[in-house]
Amino acid sequence: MSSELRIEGIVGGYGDLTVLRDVSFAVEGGQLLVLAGPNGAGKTTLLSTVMGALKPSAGSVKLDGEELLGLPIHRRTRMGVGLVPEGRGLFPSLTVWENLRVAARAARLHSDQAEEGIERATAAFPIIGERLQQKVQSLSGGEQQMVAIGRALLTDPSVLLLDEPSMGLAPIIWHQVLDTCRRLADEGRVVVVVEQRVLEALRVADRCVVLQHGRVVRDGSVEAGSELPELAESYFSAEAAKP
Amino acid sequence: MIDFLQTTEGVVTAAAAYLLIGLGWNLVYNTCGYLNLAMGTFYILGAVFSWKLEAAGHIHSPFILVVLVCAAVGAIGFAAERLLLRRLGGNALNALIVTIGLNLMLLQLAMKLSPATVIRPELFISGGISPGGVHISYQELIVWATAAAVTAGLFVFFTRTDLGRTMRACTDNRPAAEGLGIKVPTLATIAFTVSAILAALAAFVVAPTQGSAYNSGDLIAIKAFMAVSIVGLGRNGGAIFGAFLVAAVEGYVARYWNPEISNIVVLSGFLVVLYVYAVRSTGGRFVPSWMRIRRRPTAPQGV
Repeated sequence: MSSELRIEGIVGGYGDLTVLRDVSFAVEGGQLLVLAGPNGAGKTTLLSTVMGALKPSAGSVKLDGEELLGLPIHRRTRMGVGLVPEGRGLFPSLTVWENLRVAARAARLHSDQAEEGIERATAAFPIIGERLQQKVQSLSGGEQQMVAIGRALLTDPSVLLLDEPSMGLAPIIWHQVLDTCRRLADEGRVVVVVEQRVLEALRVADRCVVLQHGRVVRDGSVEAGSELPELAESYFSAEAAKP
Repeated sequence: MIDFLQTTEGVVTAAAAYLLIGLGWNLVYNTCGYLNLAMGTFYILGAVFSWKLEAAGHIHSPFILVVLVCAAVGAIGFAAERLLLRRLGGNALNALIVTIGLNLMLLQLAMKLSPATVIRPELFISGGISPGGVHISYQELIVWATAAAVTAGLFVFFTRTDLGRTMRACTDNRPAAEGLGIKVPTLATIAFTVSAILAALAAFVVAPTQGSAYNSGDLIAIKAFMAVSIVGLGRNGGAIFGAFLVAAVEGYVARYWNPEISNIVVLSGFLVVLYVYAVRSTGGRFVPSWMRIRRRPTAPQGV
């Protein structure tokens, strides 16, 4: 599994409000990219645009050379784009199995494909397999995050987008989630993580793209964490870089 | 004792009717996120169409009649949702106002189609059984069986089918459902249409037992609304309990106290339900400060 997600000249936002201004970058399979930036920079808007929830006014989003723009969400999901939305986007009163099944059917998977996807998710996160008949609202925050990631893995995506996966997680669980993201990238996937706790996310990242006011202001590799203090100082606050 | 059991038999029939309409209330509320205030008129249209088709005299099979009546009322529900309600983009208050207007429009239609003050479609089958001296007509047994079958059918639909699970998912987290690419407006159309069909089905089986005036639908719908909101709007399990409670209060008050005040007692209960909802939705602003429940601060979310 080695793919390429190419975003070129995306301009878009919400109605008349332009949030993204000519955003371009490409990510290859096996890379874990951290998309950072202050609140309102356009990180979530960009993920929503890639996933198809928002229509850009200009630009293109290509997966392995195939244009995604104009396709409905379920087509993009089946083509290999998976999203773990901000706040996890789960259905609390449904069981874990029902959550996975609903997502599989939303992606228009056939019944046997859906079951295959659920097996894939439970293989990636065995704890999900033990909780299949449990309601999601009864799970811990970490387990819920695993269900959300597992749900995004139903279609065996080549691109995995995670929006603020650290939200509501204890540090130890958050580090486990990061290690999982690294493992998924090492399997050849494109993994894009939007994160506010950026210094911790950069620990496992290959690259970091920083958005400010809807523009890419930095795009570079993360070499053994050497640039972390510089990044933090430049784009967030000098205080955050201090040990 | 026989008298009590006979009254109870009437209570069960009324509960079955409230349950059928109440499940329609729940279906729309859960999937569309608003209340359909035209439910009572959908019920009356079901009764009127049954009566009209019977009066035309060409169709005698109740099985064909029920399909035609449900299809006609369902088509009105479908058109109302597609042409009026879908355009509101999920705004619950606007939808509520539109369903009030829809109710008034359909009421005029029911009035035009209903020449008699009270219409009473013919019984499918006359006669009945008398276990222990309690008379139960076959038509009432059909009402009970319909309510039981619809309740069980909806339970199976919501827990065993992909469409049902998807509808529950929309109730739980509509933005997340939309984010997955689920076509929530299509589900809303299905829910609204099915709720209209349920009201028509209720009328088709219940109207022959008691008769209906063209303007009596709102009272039945309000009682059904009470039934589903006592335990909590949107909960089908609670609707069963609520339907029996409302029917029991109505039936026993009418039989053992005063038939003229049974509706007043039931509607007083409706005011209590509305008051509780108002208290809940405003965080207790309608309640004197000394009566307010002091809530402990909740623990921060996390693992």
